[in-house]
Amino acid sequence: MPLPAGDAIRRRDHVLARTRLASRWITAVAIAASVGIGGAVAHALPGRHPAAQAATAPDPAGSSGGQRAGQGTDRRRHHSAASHHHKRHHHLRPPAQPPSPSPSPPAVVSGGS
Amino acid sequence: MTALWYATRGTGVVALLLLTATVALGIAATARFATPRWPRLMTAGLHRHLSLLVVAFVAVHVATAVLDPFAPIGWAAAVVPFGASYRPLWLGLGAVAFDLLIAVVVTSLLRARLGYRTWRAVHWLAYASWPVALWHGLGTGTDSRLTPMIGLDAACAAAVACAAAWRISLLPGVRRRVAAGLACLTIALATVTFMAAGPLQPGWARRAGTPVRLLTPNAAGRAAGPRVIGPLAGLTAAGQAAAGPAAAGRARS
Repeated sequence: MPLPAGDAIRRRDHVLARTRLASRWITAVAIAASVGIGGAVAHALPGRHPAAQAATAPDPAGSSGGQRAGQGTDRRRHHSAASHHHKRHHHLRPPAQPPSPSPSPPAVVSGGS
Repeated sequence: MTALWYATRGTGVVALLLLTATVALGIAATARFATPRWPRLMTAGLHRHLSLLVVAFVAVHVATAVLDPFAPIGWAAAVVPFGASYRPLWLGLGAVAFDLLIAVVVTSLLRARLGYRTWRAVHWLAYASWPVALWHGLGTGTDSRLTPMIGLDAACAAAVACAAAWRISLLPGVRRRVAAGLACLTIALATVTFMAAGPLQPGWARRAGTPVRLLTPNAAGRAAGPRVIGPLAGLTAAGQAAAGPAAAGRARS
């Protein structure tokens, strides 16, 4: 038996309001999930570990980036590599022999008669 | 600019989840699913709202991917399939899924003018956009090998598989049911085989079509020398420290 028109309209409006409310909640959850997944991915990547970042920061030559690029996503592996790099950085020894003299004479830019 | 890449990943994953929900709701709507607490009007309304939300998330996903200077993806590659220099096949699948979604949304907005048959024919493409989007995510996704991502993809596949199985069980005639079931099973087996032979294996980035200069940043710096300018300059040996280790991680997977 069909509902009276007034009841049907009220019921339809109620369903539409619930749908809108559910849509708003889903939108909010989706935005939060998007930010959360982005953050999670950021921390899951190699090099995002704080220790790794600390080890990378003082490297002025930037020569470790490519080596790190070849490593896997295993954070522990990366952490050990970063620690190794860190230790190597703090245990630098002076060179065993002095730098070799340059074979070419210094260029003269002024002077002479 | 690393934030753009994280936004690309986040919006891409959420767009797949929303698309999965949209497909499940669409299947429920075609099967005229309804309960006293969940009338058909609610299914149709949520399906419509979620599909628009999917388009919004995919638009942000595309925009952040294009604006991120790490991967050379142009605006054209976002809509023209298989034209990108970065993982062309897998990025092209994303472009196909995006085009299908746009077609479905546009025809839905013009439904009154197009007529029901035309709209329904185009709307069937929405079913195709889901596996295409899934394969795009598996093939292009940098972190497809991460366990949470595999879990999310498996959950999406399970949700659509359950909805499809329920819908197939309602089809009239045994032949149609068997044919639809076999088609779904083939897609599922193809996806599992592809995952096992592709993204889960080492060296997938190279096989997927990632430019060599993004795979080995130091080598690129040496090989390209001063010609590496602009956004990609951060990937040279000298610029790697500034680009940060995250960029190295992006190049690897």
